[in-house]
Amino acid sequence: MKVKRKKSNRIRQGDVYKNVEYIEFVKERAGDIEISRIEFPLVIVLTQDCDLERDFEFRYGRKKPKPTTQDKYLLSVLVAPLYNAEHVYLGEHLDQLNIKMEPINKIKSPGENLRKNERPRYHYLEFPSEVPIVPSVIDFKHYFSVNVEYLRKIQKENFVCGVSPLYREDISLRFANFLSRIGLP
Amino acid sequence: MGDRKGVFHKGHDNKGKTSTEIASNKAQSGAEIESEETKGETSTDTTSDKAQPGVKMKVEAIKYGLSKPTRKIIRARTVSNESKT
Repeated sequence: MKVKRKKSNRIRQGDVYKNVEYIEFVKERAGDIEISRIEFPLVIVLTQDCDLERDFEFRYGRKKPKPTTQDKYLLSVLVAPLYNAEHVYLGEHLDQLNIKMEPINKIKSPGENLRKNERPRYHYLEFPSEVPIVPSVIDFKHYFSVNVEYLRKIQKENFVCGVSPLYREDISLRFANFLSRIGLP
Repeated sequence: MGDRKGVFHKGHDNKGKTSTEIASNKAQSGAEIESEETKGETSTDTTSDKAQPGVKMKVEAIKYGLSKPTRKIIRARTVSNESKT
């Protein structure tokens, strides 16, 4: 798979960011506030790149005349976590959240099918040697949204790499297919 | 573990730490480790066993994505208007 390691001035589809927070819930009771947040070591951006581009132009663009509305603003960016493939085989990638996942036999058909991207839920990625990411698996079922301004704030510090267009389109298409799947009886 | 001399871009103090701890530092900071000299140390996450003393080389001390998602709970109390006045 090809990747770009150069930071862009904006968030792009296929960008991989590290240490991204997800607010699970916020509770308020009699003045006491409880916030539960999950920190994901790696996530990949799934939002369409044209939407991200238009959002950037409307928010920070220098084109004149300036847009008179915020019509193209996004409220959030869709991302999905990347899990260490070795943890996924063992079903232990979410054990620190007290979630036990189904193990996938690495050396038999289930593991092979995962690596061939024949399981709609998962997308297996191997990064080139210059990118310091272990073989990873995107779990499309665990997609979540991140606030645009938050992601923009951590963009420079937490950017790891960007998946090149051909491969990111493959990921995007597989994600869309997963979301729109129909379970026939 | 033997002694390990290295140059750390982001100024971690790794004196007396194991390679795992050093690797952990990198995972948190994202800093790359540039090793100037390695003395016969074997390590699972560096290529230092192949290094020649005095040869400047870059090693990928750790890869991202080794850790797992974690949950943190933050508790706070709101300050009422009454207590402000």
